[in-house]
Amino acid sequence: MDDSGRLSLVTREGGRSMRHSRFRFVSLGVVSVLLLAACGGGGTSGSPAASCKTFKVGLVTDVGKLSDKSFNANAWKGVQDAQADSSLCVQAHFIESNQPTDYQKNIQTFVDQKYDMVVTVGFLLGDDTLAAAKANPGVKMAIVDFAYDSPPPNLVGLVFKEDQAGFLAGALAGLMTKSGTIAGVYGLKIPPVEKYRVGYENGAKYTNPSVKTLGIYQPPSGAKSFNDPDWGKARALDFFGQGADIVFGAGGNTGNGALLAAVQQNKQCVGVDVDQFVSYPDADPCLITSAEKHIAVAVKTAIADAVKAQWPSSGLLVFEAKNGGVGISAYHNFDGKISADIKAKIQDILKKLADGSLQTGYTAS
Amino acid sequence: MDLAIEWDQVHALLGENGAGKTTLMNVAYGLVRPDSGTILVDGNPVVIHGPQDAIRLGIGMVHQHFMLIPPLTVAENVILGHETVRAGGFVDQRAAEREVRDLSQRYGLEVDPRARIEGLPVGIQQRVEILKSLYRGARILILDEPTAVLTPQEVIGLFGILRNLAGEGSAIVFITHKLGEVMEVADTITVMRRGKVEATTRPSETNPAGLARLMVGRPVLLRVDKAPARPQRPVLELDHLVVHDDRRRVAVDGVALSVHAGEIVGIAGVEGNGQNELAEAIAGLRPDRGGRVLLDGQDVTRATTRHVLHGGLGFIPADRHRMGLVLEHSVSDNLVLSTFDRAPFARWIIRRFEAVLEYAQRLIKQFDIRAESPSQPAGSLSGGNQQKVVAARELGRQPRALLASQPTRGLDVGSIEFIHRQIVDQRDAGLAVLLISSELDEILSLADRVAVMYRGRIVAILEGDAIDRERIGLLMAGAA
Amino acid sequence: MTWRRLFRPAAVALAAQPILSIVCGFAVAGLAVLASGADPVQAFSALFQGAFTNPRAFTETMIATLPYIFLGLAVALGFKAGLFNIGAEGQFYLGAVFGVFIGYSVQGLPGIVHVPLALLAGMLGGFLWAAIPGIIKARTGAHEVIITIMLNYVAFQLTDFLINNRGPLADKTSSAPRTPFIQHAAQLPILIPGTRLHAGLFVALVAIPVVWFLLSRTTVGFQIRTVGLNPSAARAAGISVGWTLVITMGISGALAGLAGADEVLGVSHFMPPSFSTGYGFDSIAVALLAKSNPWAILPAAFLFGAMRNGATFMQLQTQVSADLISIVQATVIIFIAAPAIIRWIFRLRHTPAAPVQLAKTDGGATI
Repeated sequence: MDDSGRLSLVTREGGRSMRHSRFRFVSLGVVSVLLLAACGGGGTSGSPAASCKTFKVGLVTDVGKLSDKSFNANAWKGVQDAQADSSLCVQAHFIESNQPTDYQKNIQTFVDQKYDMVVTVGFLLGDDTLAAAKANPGVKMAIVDFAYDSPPPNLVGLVFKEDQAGFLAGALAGLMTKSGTIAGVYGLKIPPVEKYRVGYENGAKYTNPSVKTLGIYQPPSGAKSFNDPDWGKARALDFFGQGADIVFGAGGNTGNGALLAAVQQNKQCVGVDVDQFVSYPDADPCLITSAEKHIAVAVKTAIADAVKAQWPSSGLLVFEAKNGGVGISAYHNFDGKISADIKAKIQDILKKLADGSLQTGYTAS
Repeated sequence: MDLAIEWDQVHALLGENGAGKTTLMNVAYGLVRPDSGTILVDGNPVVIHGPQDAIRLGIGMVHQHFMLIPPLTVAENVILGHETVRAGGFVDQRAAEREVRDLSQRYGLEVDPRARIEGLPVGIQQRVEILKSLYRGARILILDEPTAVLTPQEVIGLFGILRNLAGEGSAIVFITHKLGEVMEVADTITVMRRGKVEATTRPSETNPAGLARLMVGRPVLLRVDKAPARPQRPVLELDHLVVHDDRRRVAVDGVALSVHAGEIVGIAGVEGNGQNELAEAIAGLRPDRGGRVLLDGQDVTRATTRHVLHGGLGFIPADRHRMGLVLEHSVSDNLVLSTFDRAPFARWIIRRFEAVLEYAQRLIKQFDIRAESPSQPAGSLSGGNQQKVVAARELGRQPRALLASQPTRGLDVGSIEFIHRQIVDQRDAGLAVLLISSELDEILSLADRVAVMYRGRIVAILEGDAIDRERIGLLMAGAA
Repeated sequence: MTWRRLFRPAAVALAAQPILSIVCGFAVAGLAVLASGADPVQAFSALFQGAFTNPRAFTETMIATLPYIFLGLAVALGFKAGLFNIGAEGQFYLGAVFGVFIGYSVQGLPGIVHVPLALLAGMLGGFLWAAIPGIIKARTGAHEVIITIMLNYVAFQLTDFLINNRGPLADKTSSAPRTPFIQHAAQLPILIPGTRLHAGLFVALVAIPVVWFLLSRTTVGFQIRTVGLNPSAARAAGISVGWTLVITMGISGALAGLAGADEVLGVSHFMPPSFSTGYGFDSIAVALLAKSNPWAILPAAFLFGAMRNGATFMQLQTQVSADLISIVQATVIIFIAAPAIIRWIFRLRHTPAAPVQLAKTDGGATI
C-alpha cells in the first residue's frame, strides 16, 4: 500500500523527466554500439551483456503513430523501460501503422521475424490482434486499453480503472475550486468515459461535499465523436458561465476543446488518459493535473510478466492504484500553487484507493 | 542562306507558310537563336541574344498580333519601358505626348497620342506599333504579315507609311505571302521556299505569276476558273439571326441570308465583325441566339452541333488548329472526327479501324493530302495539308451545305488553289456554300454573291457586276 | 540539325524521364535519411528486403499494389479527358462502402455471384460519387479539382457517419466503430494459403487491358481522348463535351470504387474507420509517373506498392520513419511535373513526344 503510493509518485516524476530517460536510452545505445565495435575489432570473445536469453518485443502503433505523445508514445516508452531493465534482456522495435489494413500485416511482420512478444496499441487493433494471437499461439501478445471476453492464452488485454484516476483528479479539483463548482466535458457515453466521470465527480464530493458538479457527454456525432474541439470548447464556456472554475476534458479532441476554453478564460483544467502537459502543450497554462493511465507501466509490466513466465491466465491485466497503473500526473506549473496539505490529502486518497479502503462509487451499469 | 537588306528600301520577304520567313526574322530580332551563321549590321558582325540587343542595334519588329495594352493611351503604349521619369518617379506625360506627336508627324503616321488603344481601329493600332519601334530608335523595321488584319483602304495607308519610312532612310522588311502587295510596295523581293532563298528580284523584273512559281516551285493558276452559278432551291437559310459573343454582347445582329444549292455566297468583312459568331451559331456551337436557322428546310436553330452536322452541314472552322483538327490524332482519326461512332466506322462502341483506314486512304487520294501514312499525326502535316484534311472530312461526308470559314488562311498558294478548286467543283455538283473570308481576293475569286458584314449586320449583298473591290472595301470599313 | 543526333527510339525516350525521376526521388530521400542520422544504404536495402525478399513480403507488395492499379487507372483515365480527378480517394471510400454493404447484408449467395455483385456495387458507388463533379462541371463549368477535393471530405465524413458506433452500417456487436464482417461468400478467395494475396489480383490485371481497350479501341475512348486533347475541335465535330466529361468522371470513379470494394472484399473483410490513408492521392503520382498509359500503370503501381509495403520493414530494421516514402513520392512528382529539371540534371536534350515540333524545327532557318 505504501509501496503502490510510491510507485505512482515515481511515475509522476518519470513523466517530468521523460526527456532525461530518453537521453539515457540513447546513451545506452551508443555504449552498446561501442561495446559491439570493441568486440568486433578486438576479436576477443567477450560475452556481451548478461547470459540471459534475448526476448524480442515488437510494438505496433495505431494510425496515430509514435508522435501522438499519447497512447502510442507512452506504450513505446513502456517498451523502452523494459529494454532498459537489463534483467529482462529485452530487444525491441516498433512499426508505425499507416492505415487500418496494415495492422494485420504489421503484427505479422513481427511474427515472421520471430519476435517473442507483440504489443499493440488501442482498440482499433482489437480484431487484428485477436486473430494474430489465435493464429500464432507461440507468440505473446498484449493490447493496450482493450479487453476480450475469452482470449486465447497468449493474449492479454491491458485495462485500467479509469474511475480511480478520475477520482484522484476530482479530489484535487474539489480541493482547488474556489467557486465551489467544477465541470467536465466528456466524450461519448461509453464505459471508460463514464468511469472517468463518475470517479471525477465522486472524488470531488469526497474532498468537498458541498461541491457542485456540472458535466455533459458528447452526443454521437459521426466523425466528430471525440473529435469536436469546437463543441467541447463551447460547452466548457457554458459551464464557466454557470460558475465553474475547473473543467475536466475527457474525450479526445472534444475534451481538448474544453481545455482550450479554460486557457482562454484563465480557469483551471484537468487532462485525461496521459500527462497532457506533455501530449497537449496548448493546455499547459490551465492544467493542474491529468487523470492518467500509466500505459508505460502497464506495457512494461506485461513484458516483464512474459519474460518471467508470470503471464496471466485470465487474459487480463488490470491496472489500478494498487499496482501503480493509474494515478494523476505531475502538477507541473501548479506545483507551487498547490499546498503541501492538499498534496498530502491526494497521497492519502491514492493510498486508500490502493489498499481498497476507499471505493470510487463506480459500478458497471 | 544569305540575305542582305539595304537601307532606304522596302524589302519584301515572300514565301508560303512554313517557308521560314518568320523564323528568319525572329532570329534577327533575337527571339530565336541561330544554329550557325552570322548576322551583320552595317558590315559588323553582331550577336543578338534577345529583343533588347535587337533594339539596341536599331532593329524593331511589328508582330502579327499586336503587343499593346488596350486601356492605356497611345503615348503611354509607345513609351512603355522607356519612360522619361521626372523627379519623384512620375512619368512625364506631357513630354511623352509631345515626342509621340513629333514622331508621328515626321513619318506621316497620323495618331492622336491621347487616344486609348481599345477605342482605335486595327489599322491605327498598327501605326502605334510602328511608332513604338521608331520611338525606340529602330532603323530596321520588320513587319510580319502586317496586312492580314487590315481593310483594303488601311492597306493602302500602310503602304504609304512604309514608303515614307524608306524615304527617310530606314530599312523595311515586309513579310508576306500575298503577291499583289509585294508587287505594289516592294523595292526588292526575296522569295523563300523551304528555308532557302529561291530568288531575289525586283517588281520591275517579274510578275505575280512568276513570283507564284518561285514560291510554290511550279506554275500555279492565280484565278479560279469557274462557270456562272446555277442556283437552285435554298439550302441554308438564316432568318434574322441574332447571336451573342462570349461577353453576352450582340455580335450578329439580325442577319437574314439564304444560300442556294449550286451557289457560293461570300461574306466579306474585316475580322471581328461577327463572322465567327455567325459561323458558330449556324454550326450549333452557340446556344445563345435568336432568329432561325433552316438547313434543307429543317429548323436547326436549337439543334446540337452533332445534329446539324449529320443533318447535312459541312463545317470548316476558321481556326484550324483550335477547332478544325486534333493535331495529336492521326490523319485518319481526324478524317472521321465527326463520324467515328457511326457505321461503318464503329459497330456498337467498338471502332472498326479497317473501315476507317479504307475511308481515309480514299480521301487522302481524292484530296491529294500529302501524308506519309494515314496514321501520321495531323500536327506533323504542313498547314495546307492540314486544311485539306479538314476539307476532306467535311466534304467527304457529302453535305448539302458547306460553311467554310477562312478556309485558306495561312495556306500556301498550291493548297489555296486546290481548296478553291474543290469548293467550286462541289458547287457545280449542287452544294450550297457559305464562304466567310477576310481575304477580299478570296471572296472576289470565289463568290457568286457577296454579303458584306459590318458590326454584326449584313450591310449589303452584291451580285454580278456590282461586285467591285473598291465598293466592298468601303462597305467593309462601314463607310457606305 | 541537332535533334537528329540525340534522337532515340521513342520508347526509351519516353521511359527515360520517369525512371530518372525515380532515381532522383530516391537520391533526395537518401539525403533526408542521411540528415536524420541514419544510413541510407541500410534504409533502402531494408526497404527492398521488406518489399521483395520473401514470399510474404512479395505478396504484401502485391496487395499494396492492387489499389494503386485501380486508382492509377482511374486518375489516368481522367487525365486522358483533360480532367484532374483528385477525388479518387473519396470515390475509393464510396466504393468500399457500397462493396462492404453488399458484402455483409446480402446472404445466401454463392461466392461466384456474391463477389462480382459486391465488386459491381463498389463500382456503382464510385461511379455515382464521381458523376456528381462530372455533372457539375459539365453544367456550370466549375472546376473539377475544387469539387472533387471537396467531395473527398464529404466522403470521409459520410463514411465515418455510416460506420461510427451508432451509424446505420455499424456492427452493433463490436465496440470498435466498424461495419460487420462481410459474408464468407463475398470474400475474394486467397490465392496463396498463408498469405493475404487474393483474387483481386486478377481483377486488377484484367482492368488494365480493359481500360486500354476502352481508350484505344472504342468510340467512347476516342471521344474521351479527343475531348482531352482539344475540346474545341471535339465540340466543332459534334462531340458532346459535357456528356463525355460526365462519362469519363463516372468511369474513373467506377475504377476508384472498384479499388475500394476490392480492398474490403480481399483484405480487410470489413470497413474500418480512416480506411485509406492517401491511396487515392498517391495514385495521382502513379498516373503521372505512368504518363497516363494504362500499361505503364502496372510498373508504376508496383513501385508505389513496393515502397508502401517495404517501408514497414525499413522502419522495423532501421527505425527510419515510414514517412520517408512520402519524400520519394513527392520528389518523383516534382521531377515528373518539371521535366526540364530532369533534362538539365542529366543533360538530356529535349526530344519532343509528337513530331509536331519536329516539323516546325524542320522549317527553321540557318543564317
